[in-house]
Amino acid sequence: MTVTDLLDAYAAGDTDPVAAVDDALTRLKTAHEALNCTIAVLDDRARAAAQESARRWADGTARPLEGVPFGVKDVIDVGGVPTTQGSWNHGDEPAPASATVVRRLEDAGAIPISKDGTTEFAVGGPHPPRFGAVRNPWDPERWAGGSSTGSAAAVAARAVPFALGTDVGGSVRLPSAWCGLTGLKPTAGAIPRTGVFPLSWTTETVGPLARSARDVATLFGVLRGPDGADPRSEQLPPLEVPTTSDLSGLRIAVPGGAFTELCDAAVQAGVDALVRELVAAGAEVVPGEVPSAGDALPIGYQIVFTEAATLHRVDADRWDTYDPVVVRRISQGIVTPAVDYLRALQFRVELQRELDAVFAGADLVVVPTCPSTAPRLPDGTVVVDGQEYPLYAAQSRSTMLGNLTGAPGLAVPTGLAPDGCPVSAQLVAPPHREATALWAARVFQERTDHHRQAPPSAT
Amino acid sequence: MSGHRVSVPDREELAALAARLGYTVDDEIVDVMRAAVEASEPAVARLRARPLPSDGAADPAHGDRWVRP
Repeated sequence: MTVTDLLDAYAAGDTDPVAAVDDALTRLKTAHEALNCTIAVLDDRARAAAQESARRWADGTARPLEGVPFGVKDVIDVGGVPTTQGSWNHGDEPAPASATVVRRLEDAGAIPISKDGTTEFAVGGPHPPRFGAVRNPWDPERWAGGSSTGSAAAVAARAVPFALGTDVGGSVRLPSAWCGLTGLKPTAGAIPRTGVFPLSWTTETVGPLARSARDVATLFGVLRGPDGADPRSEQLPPLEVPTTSDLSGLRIAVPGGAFTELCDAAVQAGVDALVRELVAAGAEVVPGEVPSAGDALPIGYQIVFTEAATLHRVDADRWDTYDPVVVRRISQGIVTPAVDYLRALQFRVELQRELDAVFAGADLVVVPTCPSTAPRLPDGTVVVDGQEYPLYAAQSRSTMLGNLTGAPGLAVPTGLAPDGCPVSAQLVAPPHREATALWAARVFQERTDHHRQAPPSAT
Repeated sequence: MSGHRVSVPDREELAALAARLGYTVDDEIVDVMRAAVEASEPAVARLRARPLPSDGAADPAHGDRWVRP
């Protein structure tokens, strides 16, 4: 069930949190056996919380997410539980406190039931040495994507209605795309990162992976807003997602260029279908291009890896115990000259101005979330129109723009490719206009059922 | 690209820089590091050659302000 469906079922008395959490734990066990999606199961804690939630539903004091189970990517702290970061090197001591995002969800009644698989430090390869690859519920010979890999697999496998991930170059949106989920990378700073192991302070956000835009809107409403600790997190205006199904007046730009020059025909067909549905609901297509988008990926990575190398210098004498992919990726940041790093930050401003020019005439930008369906294991290659490409040459071409500029992006499933795996489009909005993307996605999902399609292995 | 062949530091320079900055990287990683630097060099060189907008993008603080509510 989705978050919305589960809350409706509780309200109707069709089930209760004790039964739902028990069911989720059973499903999670099955999913983990098939997919390797879980690092730790929080069963005792979850069952105790479920009892409390059941009491609250019974006595009329249920909170907004009362009794909804969820997963937590294992770079995000849950108090009293180790945060391994997918690594041999950190986190075997219990976290002293929960991350702000976990605390907010628990305060709203939601129940964490698992720490989910992550690539090492949220930057390593598909095969983290400590825990291994997470398989994709749509095709176990493929990767679930990353870095929020276990979170995506658990939600797609119908073990939990939603999970938390982090996104530095697409790590919420890419696994969402490859697992048929709706995933939000919010505006930089909209959701506090306190209690999240950092990778890149300029580009990193926390975000939810769920099965509908409606659920994501509900979760984002709980997660957003300052916590007084994350210096990039400030007071926000209210989140007001329009309730109408009429998109009249909504202007969407559908840029080409770097966003579509490497894009499988099935992915492009999904983008086109989404645009057609939005237009049928009243939206208007307007011109809009981002001329420098092609440099967002290499320059974005330059910022990410320089900041990551800085953060990991404290462990520089034990990089030989890291996932070699982590070292291969972040080591280039060691030798980035300061003048290039700072020029990259200036480029960030230039890209923001290019987006401002687009958003002067458009409310949303629609692009592919990624060029292909899910990467194949064990090598992690992707296939675009029959040709193989290395994972990192392809995966973040459309997502890094949001990390580099800070603009929000919502990955939305748009159907299945001929290989039977999901494809996805991304709705990019101006900063702090997540409501516009959530509105358009909700209307699209009212008119289609791609988001309700489940992997053959999920029951 | 600017039309001329770009050059990046050789592997010995990169290894020495990494060591000076406190990182322990083996020969394989030095090779990988150099390959990565070389791969990103065209985009980086384009950026170095590109003039800044005249209206203040020089201060990266503008980038942080853009995402403030």
